[in-house]
Amino acid sequence: MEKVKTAKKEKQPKYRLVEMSDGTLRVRSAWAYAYILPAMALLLLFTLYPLVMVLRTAFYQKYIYITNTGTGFGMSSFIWVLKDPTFWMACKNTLILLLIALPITLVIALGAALLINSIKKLQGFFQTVYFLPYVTSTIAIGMAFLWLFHSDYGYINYFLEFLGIPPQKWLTDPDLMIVTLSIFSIWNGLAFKILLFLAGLQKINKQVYQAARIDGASPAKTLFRITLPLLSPTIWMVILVSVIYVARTFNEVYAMFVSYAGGAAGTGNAAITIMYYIYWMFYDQGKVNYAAAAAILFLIVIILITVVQRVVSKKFVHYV
Amino acid sequence: MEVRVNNLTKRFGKTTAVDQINITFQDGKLTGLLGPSGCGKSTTLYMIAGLESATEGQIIFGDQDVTTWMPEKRNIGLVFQNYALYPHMTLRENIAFPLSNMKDPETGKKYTRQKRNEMVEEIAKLVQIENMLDRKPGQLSGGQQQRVAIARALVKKPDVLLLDEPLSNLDARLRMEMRTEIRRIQQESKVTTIFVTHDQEEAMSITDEIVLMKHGVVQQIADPHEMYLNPSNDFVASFMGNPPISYVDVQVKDGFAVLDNGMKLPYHTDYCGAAKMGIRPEAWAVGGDIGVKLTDVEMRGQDQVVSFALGKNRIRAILNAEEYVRSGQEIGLRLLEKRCYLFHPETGVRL
Ligand SMILES: Nc1ncnc2c1ncn2[C@@H]1O[C@H](COP(=O)(O)OP(=O)(O)OP(=O)(O)O)[C@@H](O)[C@H]1O
Ligand SMILES: [Mg+2]
Repeated sequence: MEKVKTAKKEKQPKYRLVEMSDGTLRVRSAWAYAYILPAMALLLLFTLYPLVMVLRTAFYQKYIYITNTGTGFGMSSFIWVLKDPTFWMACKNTLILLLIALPITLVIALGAALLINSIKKLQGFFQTVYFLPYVTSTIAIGMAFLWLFHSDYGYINYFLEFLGIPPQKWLTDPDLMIVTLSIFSIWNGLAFKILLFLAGLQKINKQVYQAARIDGASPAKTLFRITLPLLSPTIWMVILVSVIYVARTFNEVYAMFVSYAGGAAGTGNAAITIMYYIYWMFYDQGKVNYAAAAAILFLIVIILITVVQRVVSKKFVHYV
Repeated sequence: MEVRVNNLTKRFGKTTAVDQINITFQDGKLTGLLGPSGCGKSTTLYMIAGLESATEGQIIFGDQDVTTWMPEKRNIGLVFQNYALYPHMTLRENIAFPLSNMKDPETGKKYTRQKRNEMVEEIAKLVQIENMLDRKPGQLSGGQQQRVAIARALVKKPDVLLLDEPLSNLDARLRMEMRTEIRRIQQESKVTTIFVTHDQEEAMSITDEIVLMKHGVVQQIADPHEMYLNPSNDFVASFMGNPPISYVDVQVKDGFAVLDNGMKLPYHTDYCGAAKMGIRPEAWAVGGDIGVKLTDVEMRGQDQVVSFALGKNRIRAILNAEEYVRSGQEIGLRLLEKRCYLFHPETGVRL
């Protein structure tokens, strides 16, 4: 009797097998929670705690950073931010980057990837050349762009003059600054996207293209009926990543415009983005509660975008 | 449509994949392109399809020289080794895809949706996948995918159907079933078909004619009977048949083939001198005066494969399953002369 009991005790498993919805068996063990504890602790400390603090700050009417004390509780910071024309300028600029600059980047990157993929010689060389900007820091590239766009010494104006177009104040003219920022953003986003598109293209079975030729599909039809649908998971993944990335545009603004305008994003804040607005409110204007309110609004928009993306991907992306 | 290739050659840099081949693929027949791996079968097929360019020579469809035509102009159907279906399209879309790129010969305009659907359903019936047309290729078994690939190749009513080892991804049983299917589909559609395979049994069982290649050179073109019973050289004799033919080096004279060790096998021929003699396993039968000692017995059910030494050569023979023999036993055999062939000792050419 005694023996049987000990044997049983030894056999008592430390885990359970659980059947998942797809029929596979998974191990369930209480130890799992212990394993993720360190990661959870870090997440709580550096993500969740600041988030709660930002939320708290955003609802103060007045807040003093040094002492971490606030007075009055309510929506007034949000109302102030929503009435601030600079905030709306930041929204408009961010939207321009998202709705105009990003699609242009995607099309150029896709075109470049298709070209590189179709050449046989020097493919490795081009791949490396296109990838270089990605491993170079945005700030450094921004410095180079600063000189390219310089209104007196820049190559761009020099080139325009050559074509008979008068030199433009790319970095100081409030109407042009968003164009400059868009060009920089497009250029800066290309490398990474080309690389991902190339990887996606190389995954497509070459024989499918031979089959399409046998079936008499024109190059255009092959592109739209074969390549793009088969690339759609990659395209979608690139969109997902870059929408969030572009929405958070900050480095580009900082590198190109801030040196001309003290703390502001260029003349009259004309190149401001939402991320820069938050930064500017905090460090330059010292309005921590306004910065926090803007950050919360931004978070809500990002969550909405994510929800929309989930719905869209179910409809249009071919996962095969 | 008859397909001819004249002096067709393909070189990749220094390697010659296909070397000056001349073949006529007869109209409405199923021709097997057979040979060991790397002998240039796929390359030949792709040149006929137009996916590979010919280095030299001509490809002629009917009476037209199509050597430089683009693949889409040749009106061919091609089934790839791994099917190459469009994974994001349903079966219906897959099969309709070739039709969407062509004009209806009756009206001169694009196919109407209705006509297209009718054609797709008709061909789906032929290959027996009509009840799964709304699925995607990923939801099919290998055999079903292969039928879809055949349907997609046949739907545009091609002049020539090309199949590149379409059965190599299937398990043994399904392969047997599908090869009969291919035969049936070919006979019903009556399309000139070229079937690439490295499996001699597969080639013999379904083709009207076999083209056997080695190192890019055609070895023999014949129907399956002829190829098996009348091989033109020792490579053909070795390639066809399982278990394979066995060889002994002999001196032929006066109605006998004499082995190195003096052993005499009866063999009547006009030829006199040294030769490499090929003996088909079924040439042997129990009851005779050729005494051998069995080294191995492999029971296969309907018959048994036995091995023994003849001189320094290992010989394999197929014996009636009812003969109860064991490994190590000494038995007397007789030899059926017409299943023995003499080849030139150096060149391997049939004597
Ligand atoms: N693109 C290529 N570049 C260089 N050599 C090639 C190329 N394609 C084929 N070859 C060579 O040509 C020869 C014939 O190749 P092929 O693919 O036609 O053989 P196969 O008879 O179809 O063989 P398998 O049964 O293995 O498919 C091989 O030696 C191969 O290495
Ligand atoms: Mg091959």
